[in-house]
Amino acid sequence: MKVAQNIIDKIWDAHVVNHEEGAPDVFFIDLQLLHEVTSPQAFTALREKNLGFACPDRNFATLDHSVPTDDAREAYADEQARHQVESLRKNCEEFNIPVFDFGSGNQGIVHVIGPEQGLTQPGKTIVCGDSHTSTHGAFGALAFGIGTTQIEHVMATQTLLLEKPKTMRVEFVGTPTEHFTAKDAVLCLIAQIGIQGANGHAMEFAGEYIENLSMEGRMTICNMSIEAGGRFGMVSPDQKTFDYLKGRPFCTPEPHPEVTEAKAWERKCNQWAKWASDKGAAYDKVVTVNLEGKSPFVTWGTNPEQGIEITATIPKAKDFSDEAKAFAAEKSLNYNGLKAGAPIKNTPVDYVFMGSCTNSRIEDMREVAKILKDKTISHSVKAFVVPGSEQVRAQCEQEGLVGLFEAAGAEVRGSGCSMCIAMNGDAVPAGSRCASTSNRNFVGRQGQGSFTHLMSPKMAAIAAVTGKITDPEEYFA
Amino acid sequence: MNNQLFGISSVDSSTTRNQQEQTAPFKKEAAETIVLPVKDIDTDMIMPAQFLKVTTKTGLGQHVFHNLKKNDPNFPEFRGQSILVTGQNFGCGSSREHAPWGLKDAGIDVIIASDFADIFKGNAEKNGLLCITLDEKVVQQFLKSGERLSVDLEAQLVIDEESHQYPFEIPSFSKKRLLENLSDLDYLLDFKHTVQEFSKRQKMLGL
Repeated sequence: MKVAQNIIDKIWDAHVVNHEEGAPDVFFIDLQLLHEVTSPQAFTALREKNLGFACPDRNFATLDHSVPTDDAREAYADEQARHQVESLRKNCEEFNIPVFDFGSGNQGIVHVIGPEQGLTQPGKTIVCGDSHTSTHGAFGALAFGIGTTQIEHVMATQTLLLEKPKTMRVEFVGTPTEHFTAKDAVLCLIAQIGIQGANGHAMEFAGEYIENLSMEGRMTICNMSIEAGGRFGMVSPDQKTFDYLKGRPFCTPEPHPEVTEAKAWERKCNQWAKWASDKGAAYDKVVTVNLEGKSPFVTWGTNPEQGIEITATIPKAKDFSDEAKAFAAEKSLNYNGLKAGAPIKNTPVDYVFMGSCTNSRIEDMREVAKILKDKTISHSVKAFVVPGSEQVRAQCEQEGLVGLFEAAGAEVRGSGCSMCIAMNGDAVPAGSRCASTSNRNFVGRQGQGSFTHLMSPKMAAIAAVTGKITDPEEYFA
Repeated sequence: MNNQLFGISSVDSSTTRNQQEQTAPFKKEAAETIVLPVKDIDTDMIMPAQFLKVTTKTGLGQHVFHNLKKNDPNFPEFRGQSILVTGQNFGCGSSREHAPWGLKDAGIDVIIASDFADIFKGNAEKNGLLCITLDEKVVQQFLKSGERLSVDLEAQLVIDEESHQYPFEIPSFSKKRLLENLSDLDYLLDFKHTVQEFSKRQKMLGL
């Protein structure tokens, strides 16, 4: 009888080029995605060593981190940022790597465009010089962030020298309250296991809650795996995965004289379905997250584990069992000016950012639109809506969402990482507080001296209208 | 100075790629430490995003912990110490290799903590930065005392000023890589032909 295997082990085993006792595996990478910030030094190294790409057709590039988001795509933060973008274009031209450039209709945040293009597929190993690469795991891919030295290794050899991670199954159970979304589920997980809870592990998210989630929701959860320390986060592929991928350019089967299009697609889906975890597969660790009756989450501190339900109060020092956590909490509150023991709701915000690789897909935009329709954004708030890709932006335009956002008083920008990492000039000023759909509330992440509160697109949009962090139950009452 | 690195040729930031990749043997005696008694130091803290717009990896040492240094008058000064002792989960967050590049450029060769973030640790090792995992109690002791420490990678030992020895674990491959200046790339390039065949096979499998 065949031993039941989980998806992580299945994909791992299928990608080992060479296994030697006492050494990491030589591990094959099916797809590498490149962007302007973490690749230039790898291109330079390649050139200096007189090496080329081992498999150029398995590499694609986009521009996202330091790109201007104005309509003309000209308002660079500085000459260094412009140089970085131009370097990527030159490098890719020299090595014959396709770039999803501005105006192509396909530019966007690397973790938005991979799935959009159908490059992201079940069973693939995918890397990118970005820790949120786990996003692609939503499709049943083993996707993970790497450093620049490893980018160079993949360029030159299409392989990496890797130790196999331990496996962790995260099972979401229970039914949360009405306004609870995928973002809240992942913030709930991180609050439970902590920001190092998944160090050394690849996580598979499972349970009825995950099965019922849209692909966008699954991407949001996989995206923030790294915020719990997990370099990998994934979901076993199912019919939803296949339906999302259908018709996308890079996964459409090539025409064949003897096989109908429908048959070819069916075959592909059957092939993909095999990657899903077998029933009864074992894991090194199993974690259960109980969502029963949970309200939406929001972070109160300066790391993603410092999150609570919107109905809760900011914890006091005595609420922590761990001295280091109590100290971290005190430091966080010293920084952002909030008070232990106070409710998080009704905290005023100055900025609202709706975007980032966590929450900038069309479903997120539609959620925001539902709230902002016929509403006016609070006069005390500056709100930014930054669609994740040119495709998402175009779809927003088609559906009339751009007009709707602007009518409400939000600024709609061109696609990119924008105010999530704040290296392109879109930044929250010092002393200002931002309700953000992004993934990190680290000190100064959205701009030096700024304060970030992570939340779902729905909660962020409500905060834009009310000017404060708001409980949706009360908002809709 | 007591922070001399015995047997180590320091990495000159203007050197060529071969020298840049060189990772020399790790044997230190009574080296000065810099202590950062904070848990969960993320790579945004180590190397803020405003310094990621470079297209080279040199000269990043001056920007290490830029915002913390600027905003906290008590932040310890980097003045040639080669060992960093810090709180658990060091290097969490972003995968930016600019963080270990900066630390290395600022003179750090060894980081001691009770736990490291996965991506950071991998990146650090590839730049000749040794991440030593010790029990949290021991790390706390070093954080409080700020004492000089000796490190012997060959023997897998950290030794305090009173000659107490603290053994640490390291995968044999990582140890060999650090001790013998091995590069992953050279190892991987040996599989060049296998990889082309492997890639073809993957395509047949739809990957």
